[in-house]
Amino acid sequence: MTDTRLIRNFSIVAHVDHGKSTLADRLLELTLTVEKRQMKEQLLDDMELERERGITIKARAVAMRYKAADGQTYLFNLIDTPGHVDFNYEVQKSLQACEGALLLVDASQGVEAQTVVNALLAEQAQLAVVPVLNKIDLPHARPEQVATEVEDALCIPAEDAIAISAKTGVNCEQVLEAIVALVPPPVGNPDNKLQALIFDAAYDDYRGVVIYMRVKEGTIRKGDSVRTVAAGKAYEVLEIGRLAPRMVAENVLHAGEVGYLICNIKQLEDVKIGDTVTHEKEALRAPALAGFKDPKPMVFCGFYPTNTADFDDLRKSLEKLRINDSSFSFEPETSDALGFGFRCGFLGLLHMEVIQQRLEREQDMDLVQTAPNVTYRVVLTDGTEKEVRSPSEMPDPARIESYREPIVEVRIVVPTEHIGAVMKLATDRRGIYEKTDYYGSQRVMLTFAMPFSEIIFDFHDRLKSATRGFATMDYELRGFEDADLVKVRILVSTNEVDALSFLCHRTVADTRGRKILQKLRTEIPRHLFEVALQAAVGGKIIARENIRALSKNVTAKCYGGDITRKRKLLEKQKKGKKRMKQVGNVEIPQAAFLSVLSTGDD
Amino acid sequence: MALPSLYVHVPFCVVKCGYCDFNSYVVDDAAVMDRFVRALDLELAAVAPPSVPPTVFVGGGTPTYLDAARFESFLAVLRTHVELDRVAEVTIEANPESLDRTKAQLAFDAGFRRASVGAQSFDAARLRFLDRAHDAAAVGRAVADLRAAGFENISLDLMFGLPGQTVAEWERDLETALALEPDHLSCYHLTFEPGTRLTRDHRQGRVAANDEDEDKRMFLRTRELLHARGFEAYEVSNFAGPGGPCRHNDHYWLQGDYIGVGPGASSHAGGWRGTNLKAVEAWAQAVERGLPPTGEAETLTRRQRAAEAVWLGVRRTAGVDLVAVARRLGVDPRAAFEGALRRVTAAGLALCTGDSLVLTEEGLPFGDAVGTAFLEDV
Repeated sequence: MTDTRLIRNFSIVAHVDHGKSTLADRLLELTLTVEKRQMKEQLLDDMELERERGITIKARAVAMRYKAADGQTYLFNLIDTPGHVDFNYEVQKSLQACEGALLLVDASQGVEAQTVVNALLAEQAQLAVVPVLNKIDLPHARPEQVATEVEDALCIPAEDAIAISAKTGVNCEQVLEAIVALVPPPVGNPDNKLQALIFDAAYDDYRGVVIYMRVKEGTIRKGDSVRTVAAGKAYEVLEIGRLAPRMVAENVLHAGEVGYLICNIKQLEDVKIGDTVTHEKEALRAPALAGFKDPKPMVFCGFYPTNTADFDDLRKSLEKLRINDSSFSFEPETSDALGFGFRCGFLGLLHMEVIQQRLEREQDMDLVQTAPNVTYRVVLTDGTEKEVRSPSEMPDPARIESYREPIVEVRIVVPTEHIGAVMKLATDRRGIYEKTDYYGSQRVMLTFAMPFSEIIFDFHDRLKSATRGFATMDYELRGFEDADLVKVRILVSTNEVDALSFLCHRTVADTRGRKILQKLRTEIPRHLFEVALQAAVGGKIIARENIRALSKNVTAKCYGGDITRKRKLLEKQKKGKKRMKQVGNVEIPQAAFLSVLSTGDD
Repeated sequence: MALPSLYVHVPFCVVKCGYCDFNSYVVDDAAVMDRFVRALDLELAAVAPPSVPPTVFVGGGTPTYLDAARFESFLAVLRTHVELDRVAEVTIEANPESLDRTKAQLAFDAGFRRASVGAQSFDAARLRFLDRAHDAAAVGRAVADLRAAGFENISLDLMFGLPGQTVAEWERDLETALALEPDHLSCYHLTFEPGTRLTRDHRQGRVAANDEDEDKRMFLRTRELLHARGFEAYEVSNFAGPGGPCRHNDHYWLQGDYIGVGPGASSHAGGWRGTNLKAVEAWAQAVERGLPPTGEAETLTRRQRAAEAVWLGVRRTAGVDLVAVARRLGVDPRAAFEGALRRVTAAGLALCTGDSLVLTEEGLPFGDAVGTAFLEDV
């Protein structure tokens, strides 16, 4: 058994692109855990998509042995955390498995929204936070200023910061020493009742679900009968071990250690992140560790196969994706315009985007994706409350007493010269200003309370363009508040296109309805007859647009040399047509559905 | 087996018109033109067209852009490979700025009997807008020169749908053209072709497209007015007067075979369609080395050919003879494209009369919509 005094469990937290994976690689290399030439670049991000987007979606853990300056050999467990707001709960659980965190900040970019959020999460988890300033090899790096920003933002003394370049390796050795010196060893008694925190899980084709856990109290052995407290399921421990970084089986893991657990679990959904593993025997059972939640999908959209015959393939693809991501949900849904598809729920917008891209890329699916919406609540006249996740679930207006919508706390970090632009954007989106925090003289963090529905449209893009790319944001769900909502229906030549109808605040129904019609007008090709586009609330038409009938459609000149080219032109138009959906006698291209997704102020 | 027709492309112009997407170059280098004529000789020798093809058409570019001496040697080259005197229809395109009495006579004496003159408009401002290198009066002079040389079948090319143009203005153009007593008229709706200067200007907002409803009225009015004056619309843009239809062009819409020579010229042989290299230099080099100068080629399946036959065929007023297509290609459009046929007839765009599919009065402006219904069903 490893002496717990020689164990250090830590995470690296950072804003996206601040170099988390590069630092992890460097640490693995310095501790000779992985040889440089064996290393795929950035070992911890193992999904193609993650690498491409520069974000880490699923956490992993890796053990390293480090011979420190004091002559002792330490066991380091690096627990990777997902780097995005949609996965905050998972980040919290990963942090809960640690005693310390390296707060990595890009020395040229400075403190960003996620830096603040992650640092606050680390503080909440009562971790020792070690500030590390990365990328000092860059010519425009300004480590001293950024250290001051860290101090202002997070009350971490500037002089504690270690300035490194994870890329070139400069000062990375100091990081290892700081981990030894500043991160406390785990506490916890191997003789207590077993409490192991599940901070991640993944599905392996051959071994079923692999649980990643931190033993907080007690001891777990191969062959033990264990149970998951929240899920209430009993298992036999088939294998436990460390991640070095490949799985290395052990017979026993003690309090303070981090490792994996395999116990013949067939479905990832049976395992809840944040759940506690304890012993099955009544007398040995320990209570759950604090803070378990079952995160609920907050953003919903419909996925429809472009080709209706692909419905079953889509179902299979979704099932396959769910094997490795139990945080998204799906159920069959029917749309008059789109046929058979699925209503899918996601933790957030990025999560939605990632799933959609995986479907298209890994599963080779051609999809129509409907406008995303948040979960609303309606209070019915009989006093009950109902969750509405899709405009089609909206009860009869006569039965609705009032509506409630989710409110998020949005934090935006931005250079001071862009404060005005951010204020305007946020208040235009019904944001309520709450406070300003100053980081140095040039950067501030603005906090707003905003309806979640206002940021799922294109808020992030608009924020970026309003601030020339400088603003970063993060958000967190705060609760539900009363709201004056309406369902806006979109009609194409009097046929309702349910896939395009949406719920929104009454004050923006006109504008949003009109914008959707304007987009549709440019995306729906002209027909041989006039096409009327209408937006309606209840029976009232709130916006109207017309697509003129084609007046003429025949090639003027068509001689020997023109035939191939002109025919190909017509065939190209036909290819676009393949992705069209017929609504009444109007053909709506997929692009029209997609364009509605990006409805903004343009 | 019917013999292929012959098309000869002369890719030179005095100016590249803003609307034009044909393969033409502004070349002022005598050596290039000499090389063109020599290479043409070689290409004709290599492809060996029938000595008496059903029709011959010399187009461009501007065939008459060649100076008299080179024009003469160009005609001599043609005559060494084809017995122009025995061909039923021999057409040459001529532009007013470069045609003169001498060249008209040279062409007639070489065996040309039909001339197609690029008039486009009789309005000075419109001609300038189109980048034309001639004025309205030059069209009349060109026609007179051709008549004096002996041409009895003269066609004029005109354009409508120019930005700001009205039906009334277009009618004046038509009247001016008719006053020259042409034997055939081609009236083209101005098209914003990809890659042209005009399209670029349009996209960047410097040139507005004309009102579409007015364009449609011009399109329909053209047929009405010309009909009243003894010109029958036998195709979307073509009107037969005393000279009858252009048999060479009709051959294209009937999917006939043809041999095209010269830079960028297309050939068709039973579903194979090839296009020569477009640049004069590249084309000449290939020919000089004894290589086929084909740049791009495609081979259509019978089903594709049948769809294309309908698309091209409905352009003709007589419609497309579906039975003849079935016999020729072994694919009966009535069975193979049953759905498309039903759709276009149900929409009232086309009509089956006997063996033929014909555009209705309503469907006339929507020939491509009808054609596409078949093309997309391949």
